[in-house]
Amino acid sequence: MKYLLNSLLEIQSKHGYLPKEELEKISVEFNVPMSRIYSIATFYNAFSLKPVGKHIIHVCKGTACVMGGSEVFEDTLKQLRIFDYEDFTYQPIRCFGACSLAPVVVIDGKVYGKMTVSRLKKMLSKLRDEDAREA
Amino acid sequence: MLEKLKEKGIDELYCDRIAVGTSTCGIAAGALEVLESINSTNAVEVGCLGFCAAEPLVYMQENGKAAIVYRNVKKIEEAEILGWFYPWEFSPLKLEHPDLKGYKDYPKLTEHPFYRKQVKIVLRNCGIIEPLDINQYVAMGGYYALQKVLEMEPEDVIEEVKKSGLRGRGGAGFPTGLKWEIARKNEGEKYVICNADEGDPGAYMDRSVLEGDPFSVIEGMTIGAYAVGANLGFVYIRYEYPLAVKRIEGAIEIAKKYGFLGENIMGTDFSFDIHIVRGAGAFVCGEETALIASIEGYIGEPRIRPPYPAEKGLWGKPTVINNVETWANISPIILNGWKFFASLGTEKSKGTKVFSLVGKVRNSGLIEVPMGISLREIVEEIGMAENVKAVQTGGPTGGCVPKNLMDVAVDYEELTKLGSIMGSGGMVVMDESTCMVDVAKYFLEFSKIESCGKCVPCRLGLAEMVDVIERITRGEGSLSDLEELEKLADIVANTSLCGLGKTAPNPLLTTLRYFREEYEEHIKGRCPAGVCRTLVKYRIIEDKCTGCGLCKLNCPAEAIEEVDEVYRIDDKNCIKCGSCFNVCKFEAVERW
Repeated sequence: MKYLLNSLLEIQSKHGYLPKEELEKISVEFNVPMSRIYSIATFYNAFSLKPVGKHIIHVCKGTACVMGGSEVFEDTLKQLRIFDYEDFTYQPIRCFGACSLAPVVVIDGKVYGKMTVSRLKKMLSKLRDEDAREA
Repeated sequence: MLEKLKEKGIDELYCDRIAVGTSTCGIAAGALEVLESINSTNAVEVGCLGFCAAEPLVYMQENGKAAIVYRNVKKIEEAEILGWFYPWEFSPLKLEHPDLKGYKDYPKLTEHPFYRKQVKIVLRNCGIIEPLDINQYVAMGGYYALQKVLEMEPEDVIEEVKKSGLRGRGGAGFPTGLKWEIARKNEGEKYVICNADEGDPGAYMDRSVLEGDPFSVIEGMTIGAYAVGANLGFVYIRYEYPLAVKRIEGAIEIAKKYGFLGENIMGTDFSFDIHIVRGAGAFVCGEETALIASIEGYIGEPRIRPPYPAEKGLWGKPTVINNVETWANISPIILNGWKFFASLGTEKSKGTKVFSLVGKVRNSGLIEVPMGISLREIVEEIGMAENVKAVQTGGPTGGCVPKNLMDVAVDYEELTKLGSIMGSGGMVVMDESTCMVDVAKYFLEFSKIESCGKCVPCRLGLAEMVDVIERITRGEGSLSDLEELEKLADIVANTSLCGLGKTAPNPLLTTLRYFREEYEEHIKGRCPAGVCRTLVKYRIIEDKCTGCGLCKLNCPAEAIEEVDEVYRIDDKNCIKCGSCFNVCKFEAVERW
């Protein structure tokens, strides 16, 4: 049996976002109006209606991480002008369940515990430079 | 059939092996690199032993001897020994095992402050077995409960769970057996659901169980399904836990292959299947009616209760919905009998509870302790925390219990009396460096963002509360704001439909109750903990600055410059985040 949420999550992970054509197919398959699919796509944090970048950065904003100073990583991203690069997408997330390693940052699916500003700066600059070289 | 699996499992569990804890937390601490570096065919992956602060954790069993645990392993040859233990000794079940020799020269793991007071029921197999090895699960007593249940009348199973006194571990604490009984009495098609949408930031016990011992959840659900008369179950699990999803998927497949799930379970005429639906990142979906709406393919808006899901739940059918930890409790209750479970805990809260002990503690990790233990024992003895200011229990909609009230016995009723809740068991320890107003602001913001928007008081009330408290943290508040906050809190709590709105004001109310002076200080323009950015300033003391440059490296705002071999903060760029203050090893950064 298929479930709407599972199918949408599959599309999201395959394309990095929910393309309209795919949603139209889902609408037919599940016999659900597009309006409801739109409401779901905009209600749940996992979905994006716009394409996401090559690199996805999550800063954990769970309790332990925020107490451990994770908010400063958003400032770090700003300083590095990460938001100006299409290749990078930033999504705050509330808790990965790795609280004892707080503060946690996840870059391209890999969890990094006990993050510091200087380490984050280094890692992101490296990613940015690598991309620039490839380009 | 079980005997054969058990024999194999015993061989696997007690042979020479090097076990590396590779749960999400272990991996983040570098467990996979450690695993790779171990050049041995005896290396296996296990779940989490709970002691997160000591990760990566590795233990070795060799030559018929007990397991030696190494902590914070980079290279196993150089790692520090934490202690030794027998792999069966954490389980409450009577288990067959060979005689392994103990050690005299090393401390016993069960004597370590972190483990000494723990009683493991839910976490009995976590970190011991290879999560997807059904032989090992059976060797640890797995599926004997199901075998026993299948020969019992469903009503007797429910009676056993009722008598045990088990209450829902998701937070609300509704008696599990009673829930099952209500569903049993309703007719027609029924469902069981495992709520694995563990959205509380700071709580991760469900993740750990699903990653480390997925069969225990499946077995619990199968028993529950048999008791209430359901043939289909669901695990609703958040997508943020990819490894847990993988493990539960794998375990369902294996259980089916061995006839523990699917048609004619263990040769009886009972059939039961489990489907997985992944949550998509909405905190409110942990609320049972919102979760049901979400499985049905709607946005996660809670529905009016009654009718309760046990009467009218998924697709209008009677549905038993319990969380991961509750399900994992079932088979030990069946195997050891209700008396065993009821002998633990307090009068109204029986058994054990798993807490994730994080924040300003030395021994952070997952702990399972009998209900009724004092908060002080947990925080100071197990966690070895010093200079505690408050403990936040119950997740984002729980409350902050101040230091002087830490002797409270931890159970559902006692925590509620203090204005907090048990919740799912998150426990965040705070010290003098934590600003309680900032904490309240953080939780209110969280609830505001996660409010589904259905009820006006929750949607608008929380937003208003955030505005007011932000004003206070900027030093622009007034004393009448505190009354305003209390009034709003009262409205939101009393006029919202679901648990989110009803409990969202808790962090505010408890901090106002126990730390009112901190609010008043902010109104006067001062943040005693030095957290609220508008109210602090930083300066580098030239005489103390050694010129090491660590502050500059860690400044996220390019606000630190080098002048004549010392560093200086440029007030224009400084965002007052405190990074330099926190990293400076020479106390050369001054905050006032």
